[in-house]
Amino acid sequence: MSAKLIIQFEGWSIIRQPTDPDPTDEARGVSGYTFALAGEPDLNRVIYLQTPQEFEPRTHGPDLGVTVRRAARHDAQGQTEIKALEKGTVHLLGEPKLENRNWTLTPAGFEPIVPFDLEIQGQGISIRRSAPIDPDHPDRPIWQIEEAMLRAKAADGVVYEPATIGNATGIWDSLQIATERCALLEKDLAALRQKRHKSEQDLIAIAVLEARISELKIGIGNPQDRRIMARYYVERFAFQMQGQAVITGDEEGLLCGKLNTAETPGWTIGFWFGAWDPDTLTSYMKGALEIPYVE
Amino acid sequence: MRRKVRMNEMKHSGHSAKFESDLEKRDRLAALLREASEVEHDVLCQYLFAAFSMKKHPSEGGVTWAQLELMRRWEGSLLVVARQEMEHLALATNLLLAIGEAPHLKRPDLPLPSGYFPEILESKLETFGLDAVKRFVCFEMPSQLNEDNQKFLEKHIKDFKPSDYDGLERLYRQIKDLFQEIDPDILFIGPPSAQFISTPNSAVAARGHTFDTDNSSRPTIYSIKLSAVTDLKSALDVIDQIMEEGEGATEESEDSHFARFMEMFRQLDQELQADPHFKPGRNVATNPRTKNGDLVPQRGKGTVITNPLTNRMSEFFDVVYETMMLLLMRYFAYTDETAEELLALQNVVFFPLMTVVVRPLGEMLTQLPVAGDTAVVEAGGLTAGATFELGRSVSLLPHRKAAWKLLLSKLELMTMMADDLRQNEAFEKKMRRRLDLMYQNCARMARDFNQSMHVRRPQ
Repeated sequence: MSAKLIIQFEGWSIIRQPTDPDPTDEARGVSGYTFALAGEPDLNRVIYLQTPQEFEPRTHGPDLGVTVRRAARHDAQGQTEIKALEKGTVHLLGEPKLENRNWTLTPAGFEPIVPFDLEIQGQGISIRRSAPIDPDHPDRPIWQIEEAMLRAKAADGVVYEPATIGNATGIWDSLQIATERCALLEKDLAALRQKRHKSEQDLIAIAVLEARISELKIGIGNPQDRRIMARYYVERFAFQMQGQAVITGDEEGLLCGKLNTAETPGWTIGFWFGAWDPDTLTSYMKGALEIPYVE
Repeated sequence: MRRKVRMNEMKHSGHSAKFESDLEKRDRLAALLREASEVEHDVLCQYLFAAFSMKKHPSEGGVTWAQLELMRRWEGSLLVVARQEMEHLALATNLLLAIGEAPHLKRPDLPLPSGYFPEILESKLETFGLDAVKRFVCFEMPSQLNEDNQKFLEKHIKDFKPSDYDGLERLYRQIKDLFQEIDPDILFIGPPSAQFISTPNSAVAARGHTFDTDNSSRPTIYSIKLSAVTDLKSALDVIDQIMEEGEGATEESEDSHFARFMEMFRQLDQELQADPHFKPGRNVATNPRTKNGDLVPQRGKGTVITNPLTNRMSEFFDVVYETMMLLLMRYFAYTDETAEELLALQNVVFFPLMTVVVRPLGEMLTQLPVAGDTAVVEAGGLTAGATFELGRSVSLLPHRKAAWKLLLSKLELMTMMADDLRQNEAFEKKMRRRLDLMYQNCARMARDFNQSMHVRRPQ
């Protein structure tokens, strides 16, 4: 058995993107079901695996951050825990986006994440590797790449998997989540409205709360609406990472061996995004990265 | 001559009067369906124009963050109604195809004098505001109103009588009557395979669960539901759908176009009373027109765009709009295309082209000066907007391969125009980013179209 490092990770990410039938570059959100609300910056479509510095996430959302839940060396002798990576943070660098561009590149649900440049940080160690769509021409613009090649690193459709979502997040009843969220927001709204002297910020906060409540109520009124149903779906990704690999900070040998950074065989990653919450623009990510050791 | 011979034969069989009358009625029906296509097309352009003109940020002046939230809902509503007008245009096309007629996608440029309404209600491209919304309410008005709406409209429209505004309802009633009067054997001669229907799945291919559809017939995708017309029952169902969704509805349902516009009208009126400085629409010129070359006299009414850069973008919009109509015409009136070729047409014209080119361009034009430079816009001067001009008559490109060649050339022209615009540093950074994405999308659409249709060998 070849030795390999398996890093398991999961957690909530934030993706502030417009949704069909809005154009890909719609800045505020109009026709879809996701919006940049009053006072918030424009939608930028970037996938953040850690809380971004540019803006304040919406209230009553999940705790953000995709982190390492377990890392271990697997070899013929068994498994050795790598404590240095535990609770490490997972990052996607370089403004990664889900790219189907209103179906001009791929059908919806079959989009790749571009760029895909993954970094895992833990106790001074950094493990980083990219996965260009076209490894032979990493700088080739995405819109010039054939659909088949795009789909090799893309999601394999949008799949209804309530058990996957429930087991990972504890969310088994999307309607209940929306109903409870709505009640919390209504309470916040009532408190703000009671203030005798409202600042400009209060007025903006009221507008945001009203908009969120209004959208949630659309879903609560029709539980088949995508505002509710989207939480039960996953998009699964699995591919080889063959771009440039950089490992730093392991002078003490905490990774239990030298990791193979050669182009082949490459590293293997599999993960899913799901439990999409259009109210807080958050999505759960769970997966594992497999890295061979140099024999 | 043939008809006369046939008439003589019919006389002997005792059916001549009915036959002749049915044929006359059929011609009348076809004319009314063409009229309906034009009206649906006209109003959807006006709704889109108003939606594109709406401000997006308090820095534009005249709007607060809270007002922008309200405006976002209005814009969303306008776009839903516009999409349903596209659906109505497609349904009118299905009705035409069912009786063996050609699709009718041409329409006169705006402004247009009122046809079905009182003289004050002309069709025009106008920025979003009380005047525009008032016109939209009138376009979609049913013949009977509840007391509340009646009183509200009496307050806002001089000498208001709902029956003055039910022209569209009357148009569709006439169409319905004619369908019922004509012998179905004479009438339904179009091939069922020509009918355009919405596909029975969600816009996103979701596995393992089927999204709820609103009834047992056809599913809706982004509020669009298209059913085939093959007989009298399906024809009447389609007409009822059009009337219930908007024009000519006799009862006010919550989601009807009229109900949506009435709510918008009331909220806008209320907001303007609370804040007289509220100005939700950009200062867009009414009926903007692309400036022609010097040798061609400018026809029609409207505000001619004289800023060269804005005019260049307007020319681009005109090419896109014309290309879209040619693609639609070929799609609706296809001849010997394979299913794959039809899919390739569909994959260009509907979702991507309308979404990634028409709408962003329509929005960007409302941020550019009609005349003078950008300082004019900053000083509150007039901006341009989508002209929705059809420079050529939209007729069927009759020969498949020649049609593919021309359509590919048009898509390539769009790509070149987008490329030219995105490189122009006179546009502000955000706009150049939009143009850059548009260029990439146009190039991709042209490339995919070429590959699907095998028009020419890829270079």
